[in-house]
Amino acid sequence: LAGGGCREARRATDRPAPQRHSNEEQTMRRRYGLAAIALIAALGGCGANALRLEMAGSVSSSATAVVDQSNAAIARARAARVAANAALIASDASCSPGSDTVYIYVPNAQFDSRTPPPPLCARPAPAGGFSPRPGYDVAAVSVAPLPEDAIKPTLALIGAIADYQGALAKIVAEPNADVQKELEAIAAKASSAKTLAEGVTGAKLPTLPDLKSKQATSAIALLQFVADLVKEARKTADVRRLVVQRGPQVMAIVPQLREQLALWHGIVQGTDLATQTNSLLRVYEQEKQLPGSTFDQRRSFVERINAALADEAGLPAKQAALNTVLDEFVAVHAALVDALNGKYTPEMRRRIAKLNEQRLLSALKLAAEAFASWGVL
Amino acid sequence: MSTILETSISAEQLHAALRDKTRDLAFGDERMSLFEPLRLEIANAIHGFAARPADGAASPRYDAARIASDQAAALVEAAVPQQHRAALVAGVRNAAAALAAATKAAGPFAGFAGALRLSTAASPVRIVAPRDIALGAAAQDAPPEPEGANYYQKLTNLFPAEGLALYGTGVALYSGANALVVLVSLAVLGVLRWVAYGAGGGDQGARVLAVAAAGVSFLLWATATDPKWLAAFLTVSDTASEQIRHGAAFAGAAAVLLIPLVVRVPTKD
Repeated sequence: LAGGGCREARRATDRPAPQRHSNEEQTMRRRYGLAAIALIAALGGCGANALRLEMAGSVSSSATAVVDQSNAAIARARAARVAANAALIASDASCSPGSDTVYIYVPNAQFDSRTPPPPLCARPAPAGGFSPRPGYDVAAVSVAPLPEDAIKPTLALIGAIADYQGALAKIVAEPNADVQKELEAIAAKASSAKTLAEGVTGAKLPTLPDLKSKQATSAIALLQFVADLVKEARKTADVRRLVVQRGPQVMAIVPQLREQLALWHGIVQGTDLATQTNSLLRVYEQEKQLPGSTFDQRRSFVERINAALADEAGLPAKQAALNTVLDEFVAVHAALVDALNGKYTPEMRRRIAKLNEQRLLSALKLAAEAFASWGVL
Repeated sequence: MSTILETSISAEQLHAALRDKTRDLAFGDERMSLFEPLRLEIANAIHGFAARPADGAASPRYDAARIASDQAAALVEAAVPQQHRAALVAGVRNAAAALAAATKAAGPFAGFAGALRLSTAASPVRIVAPRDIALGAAAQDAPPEPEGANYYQKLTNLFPAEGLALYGTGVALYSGANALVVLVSLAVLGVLRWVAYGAGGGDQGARVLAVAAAGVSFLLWATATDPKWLAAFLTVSDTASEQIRHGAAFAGAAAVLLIPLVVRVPTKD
């Protein structure tokens, strides 16, 4: 793996920094300085880690999109069912609310289009059963909301992807150490301790080196650079661990989620949207005949019908958008797995090379400044 | 073999064909008197089918619903105004019934499989992945269903009543005990018990033992009732026959006491 070299470089830089002892060791220090610059430069060369973390970030955003849009799709399917049930019951005076089931007249083999049609809903007959209509049977149709038990597995699938996303995002968003801030905090504590000690003992204690001095600034800049790279390598290792452990399971979920969404959002919601539209159409046919019906009433009703038709017509596009989001999630995840395994596309290679070049230059610059200001070089 | 999704897609195509007819002005009053009630019935069947426990696997039992939906969709699509509707109505109603049947029936042994389950392991997981990931340990910690706890219930579970019922019928039909009746009853008993003790990936060893125990109990009981069936395999004198009968009755009584010690039947305590 490309990351292997990076880790070795990191270990090498963990060696204690050379200290100034005497003029005789000047040559030795110089050698140490040059070696340290080379190692820092090598560490800076791990542009692949930056790219991997960036890709982990894309996987995380893509998973967020999957979770959000899947939840929205289920919410739409739920809402469509509620609206369809209300519209169906309200669309004919023969139907009554208050029950999870309505009984409707459904044609049977004796259906004859010349006989006048029955009302939509069948009413229970006093003698039990329903008043019979020639050419029709009575069928029970559920007007209950979407059954939560049946949706639960789909929500669990979405939850699993959300968990994965959360774990990835947590790794990626972990803040890097701010060396300057840490040192300032330490300096502030040391300074107040010094003041306290001076007050108690009356002695004048030596002052801490100034963090704003040229030496300190250049050292902090170099430390920050190294700390960032080390943190980046750790985050990459964490991402790798998560992707290896959980990635295959999560990817196995995606086809299941796709199926569940096709079922609930595409197919079941489609029938509910059609019920809404057709209920409006039924009412329109009845009401346009009424003597008091005006143009304005009819126009606003037709607009409602058109809106319902547009909702229906828009469903395939929404379903396609869901599939696109899932496809993208699968694609960016596969790309992340490839990148973690050191398989890069030519474009990725170019980006890594560019990142490495930039980092190499910063590493050399920072190291040279620091060592020069300490007098090592 | 059709999957739930494939079957749902076929049903959806039938639904779409019906919906299109409800919007086609050429069909006049039939839009609301014929096609819309049929569409509502199919929509209702789709809702029921979608809400069935999802096992995701393809199953031959969805085939009927899928084929009926496809056939009905073709009939609806081909419908023209002013036509006799008997075939169309029959086709669509048949598809609705097939979908409803696919929703209910989970296979010929669905209600039976695992009815006498030996293992206390939970029912088969329908969707595997989210249990592992989303629900995690919580799902694993679900308390086991309370099952037959006391000794008499164990005996009842292991006592092969169905084999005896078959045997009794066979004896009545063939006016006497014979080897064929005993062996056929034994075979049927074995199959029934095998299915009933199974399902849910329980302990296979316990399953074999339990089926064997039921078989042995049955043979002992049949012999204790009338050992004549043994004549098919060995020559038995009347005296010996009586001894065998007593021996079998004793062994049967002993088996009833011993079998629950050998076969592990789940208990709550």
